[in-house]
Amino acid sequence: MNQQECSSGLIKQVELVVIGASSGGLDVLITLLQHLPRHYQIPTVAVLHQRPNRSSGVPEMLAKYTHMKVQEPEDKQGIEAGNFYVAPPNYHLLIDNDRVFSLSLDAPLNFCRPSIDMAFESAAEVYGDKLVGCVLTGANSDGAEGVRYIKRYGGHVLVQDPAQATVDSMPRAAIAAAEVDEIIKIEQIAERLSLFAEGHQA
Amino acid sequence: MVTVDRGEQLNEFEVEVECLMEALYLRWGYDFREYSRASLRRRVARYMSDNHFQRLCDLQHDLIRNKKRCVHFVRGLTVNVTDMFRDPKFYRVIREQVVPELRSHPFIKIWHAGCSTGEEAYSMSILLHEEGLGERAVIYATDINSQVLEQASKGVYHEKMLLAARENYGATGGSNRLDDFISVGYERFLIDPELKKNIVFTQHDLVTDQVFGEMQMVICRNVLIYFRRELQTKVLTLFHNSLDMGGFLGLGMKESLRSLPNSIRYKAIDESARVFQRVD
Ligand SMILES: C[S@@+](CC[C@H](N)C(=O)[O-])C[C@H]1O[C@@H](n2cnc3c(N)ncnc32)[C@H](O)[C@@H]1O
Repeated sequence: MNQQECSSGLIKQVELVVIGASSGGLDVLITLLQHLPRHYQIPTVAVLHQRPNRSSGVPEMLAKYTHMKVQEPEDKQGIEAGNFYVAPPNYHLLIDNDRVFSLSLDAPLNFCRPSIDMAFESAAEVYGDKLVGCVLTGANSDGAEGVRYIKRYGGHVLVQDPAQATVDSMPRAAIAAAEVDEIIKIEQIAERLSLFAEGHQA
Repeated sequence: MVTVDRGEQLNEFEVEVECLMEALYLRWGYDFREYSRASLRRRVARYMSDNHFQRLCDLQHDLIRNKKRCVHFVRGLTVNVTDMFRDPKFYRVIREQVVPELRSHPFIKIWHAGCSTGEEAYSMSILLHEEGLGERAVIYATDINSQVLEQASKGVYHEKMLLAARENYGATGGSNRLDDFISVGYERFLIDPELKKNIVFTQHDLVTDQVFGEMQMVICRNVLIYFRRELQTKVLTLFHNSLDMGGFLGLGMKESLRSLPNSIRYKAIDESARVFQRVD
């Protein structure tokens, strides 16, 4: 099984990384990007709760810290290596079976739009065990249900150590919801992802 | 733990959703077969839990036999979120770059496809009146969902929407106050009946119905996001065939022309506001 391979040091085949973060999320995403090596090319999606403001400026901000191309995806845009995608504020971000983004204006889920749960669930349905989900700092429990989904479909889940998180409710909720694979600091999450990236290149 | 090998394989629920969409089409002519699955499935699941269906086959049984259930279900499948002057930048570009061109037309026809509860059509009507084009314009506002159209033709909205509406209006570069066009009271606000005169609300299904001819502008925002690319291509072609040469097309802020067939070209009036002009 993939999980076992992972914990026994073998490299898992990863085709997508999805990250959920809320309060304090921007800073921790910056730390993550700063620690990702140049060979890291796995397409990565960050769902960050933000004010429902049209031009968030988040992609521009994150772009300063990474070699990847940072962008807010448009509807039906294909998912490609070397890109770091940030969910646009005020839309739900989903993924269709043919691996393209699909946006939606469905009502907020548990007061959140974008909803981390919805993004995680639809990513799990499409990427199955080729998916890694990360839950970072945040002041609610969005993502917990999604983590359960990722595990059901055989994906791998990394959670930021609640002791390190600016606000620990979100990581704690994720840990309570499912048997997550690792609970580690953000720097170690970066290490883990770069290890996966070696498998991605191969 | 049992893990699922995904690949091309659909799980049980996904297969049932495919069957249901086929059944709805065969039985009632509602065609959701080319809707984007990610959000469609979620709304089916949502409808089941809201209406206490444990199994999709029970819902399907009912939907095939009961037209009322079907209409109710279709309402549940469509997402009707909207706002007055949503995305002020869009209206600003219409005001500054499209209106000057519209002035040369003695008669202006505008189609709002997927207008939901009507806020968008009224916003446009306000803008056209401000620019002195109100008398010359007819707005056709259409949606697949007859219930939202009923609400739209009333032109009555909840007061809690007003704050955002005023703020948005302010950012569109209007020379008046939003309150000049509405009356407020009883926790509601009412659109000035004068603004309704040139709006026609009618039911129209973008998937199965025909073109609306010779429009100077087609606005379809946040509807294409619910469609797969093939259906987007079909609907964008429908818009193209509905537009006059030189006519304008307005899309939602995260929608693009990436699904446009190669044979059709538009010029970007403002790429980031998603306003385009038909050039061939
Ligand atoms: C999210 S609303 C968009 C409202 C508005 N245009 C806006 O951007 O604020 C989407 C609308 O598309 C309508 N719709 C969905 N499928 C449709 C179809 N096949 N034909 C016409 N309208 C459709 C829904 O009923 C809903 O009112």
